Amino acid sequence: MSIAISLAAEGSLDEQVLRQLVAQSGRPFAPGVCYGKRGRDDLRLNVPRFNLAARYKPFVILADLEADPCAPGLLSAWLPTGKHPNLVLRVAVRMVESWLLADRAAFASFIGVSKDLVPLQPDELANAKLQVVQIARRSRNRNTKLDLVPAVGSTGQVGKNYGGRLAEFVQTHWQVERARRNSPSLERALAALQSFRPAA
Amino acid sequence: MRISHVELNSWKNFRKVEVDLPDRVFLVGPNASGKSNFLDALRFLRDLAAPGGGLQRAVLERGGVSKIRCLAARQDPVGIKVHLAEGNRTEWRYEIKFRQQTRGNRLPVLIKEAVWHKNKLILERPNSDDLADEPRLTQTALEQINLNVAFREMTQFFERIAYLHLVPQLIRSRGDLGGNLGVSSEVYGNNFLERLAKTNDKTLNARLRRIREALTIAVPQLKELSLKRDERGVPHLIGDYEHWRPRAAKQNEEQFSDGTLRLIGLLWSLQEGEGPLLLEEPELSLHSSIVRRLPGLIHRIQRARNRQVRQVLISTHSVELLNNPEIGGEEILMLLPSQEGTQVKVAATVPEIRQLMEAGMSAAEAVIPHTEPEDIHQLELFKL
Repeated sequence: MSIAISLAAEGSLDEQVLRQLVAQSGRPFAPGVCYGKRGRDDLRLNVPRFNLAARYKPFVILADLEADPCAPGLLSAWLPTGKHPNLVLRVAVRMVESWLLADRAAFASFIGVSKDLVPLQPDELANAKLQVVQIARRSRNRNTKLDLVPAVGSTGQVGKNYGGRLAEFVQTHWQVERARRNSPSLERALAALQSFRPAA
Repeated sequence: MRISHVELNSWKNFRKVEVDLPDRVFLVGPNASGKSNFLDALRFLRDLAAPGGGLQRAVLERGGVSKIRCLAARQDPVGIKVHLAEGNRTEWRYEIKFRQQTRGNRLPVLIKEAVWHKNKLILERPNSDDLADEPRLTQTALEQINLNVAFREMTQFFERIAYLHLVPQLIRSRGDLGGNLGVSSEVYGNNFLERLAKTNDKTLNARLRRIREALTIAVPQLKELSLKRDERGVPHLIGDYEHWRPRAAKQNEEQFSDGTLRLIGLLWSLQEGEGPLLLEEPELSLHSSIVRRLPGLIHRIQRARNRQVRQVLISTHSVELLNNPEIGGEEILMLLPSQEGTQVKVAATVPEIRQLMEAGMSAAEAVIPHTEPEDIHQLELFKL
């Protein structure tokens, strides 16, 4: 029997990561819509509403820790009145890009760089987005570089098809089973999904 | 009076749907889910009842019965049923069912036509006259003055259904493109300026004045707006644009921006007529600060005249338009494609959405995610 769930995430890339995580969890979840995708502040504002709606449908939510000190702190700040048992809120430390970097060999080969350039402990990075861009600067593939690295003089933090290119990686190469070994926050998120038993 | 209930059978994307409609309706759904086709079912009733209309023409303009019936239910007859209500009281019910003749000219023929006033059945076809003279079944009672005396009020209501999907290029070209596309008269605005020119001066000036007042806020450079005929008698919209020179420059509709033309068309349509107004994507070409205000503006105009509420049905893709706490889940119809044709759901009937909106989420946040195509993320894998 599949378990229908709703999702929520900060952006489109986060949504793709969450969908893969759910799909690769080995549990019979049937994810439906993904709410949010309008940034972190918006997600934070809406989490208490998802918590109420979790009465009707289980929710799985992915947020970035960003500069917050720790994930349990984020949970109690975002849901001060307590979490409904049908809601799972998982936090990527500190950005979802860390979870992509955690699949080291696959990420390196997708970008076209040596595996040694990909950090061993991506959860320790203060800004994994910046790290992805730095790695992409060394890419042997011109198109990958153009997609991920901002143009000289641009005020953009990332390249013009950053989200699209990484979403392609997530959908076609990223393996949770490999990545979890390098990212404790991903390991905990996977464990939480594997033990999630929402009440009908 | 408003259209309070619609049932469609084998109508384009819809195999079988049944839904209640409030005074203001927002239709949301992915591309090609049938938003325009839903509105077209109501336009079809208008086309049956309008002078010069009728079943044969209304079907022909849509490419024949084979283009109307639902691909998921080819064998079923095409059917439309509506209830018209005053407040909570159902005044009229109308039902039509038709199919294509299996032989001969393959004309559309009625299988059923029925009218109820309050709860009384006052017309039911085919009747004995129809059975004695089958060609009668190629015409509805709506289109025949001598047959529709008993329900003239309902027929006139259908006639007043108005549709707006302004295409600025067509206003500028005065329908030159539209004629070739075979689109029917007022659709797409190809005779928009002629419609303005036919309005009596007093009404015309009053409406243009209100439009100008709104436009001077939205398009501050525009100082004056009037309708003038050129030497050949062709009507033109003339605007005075202010710039750094001392005298304002006159421009006509050919030089207006798409946004200005669409806003003029929208404001005009909201003031014209009293029957249900069907608006197709009113957000197009408009700045988000205007789009955000459209629901409130439409609401004001709905109540502006005669204490009668004018029903408005709006198809939209706009997050800006729906990101509005004043829009209720009961006003939103979600069109969700499936193997069995498009399903229509009132957003407020989905418990999860209802809860999210009651907790303060806007329609945009709570509903639009439900209308995303399931495999939309594969667009990122598309190889160029």
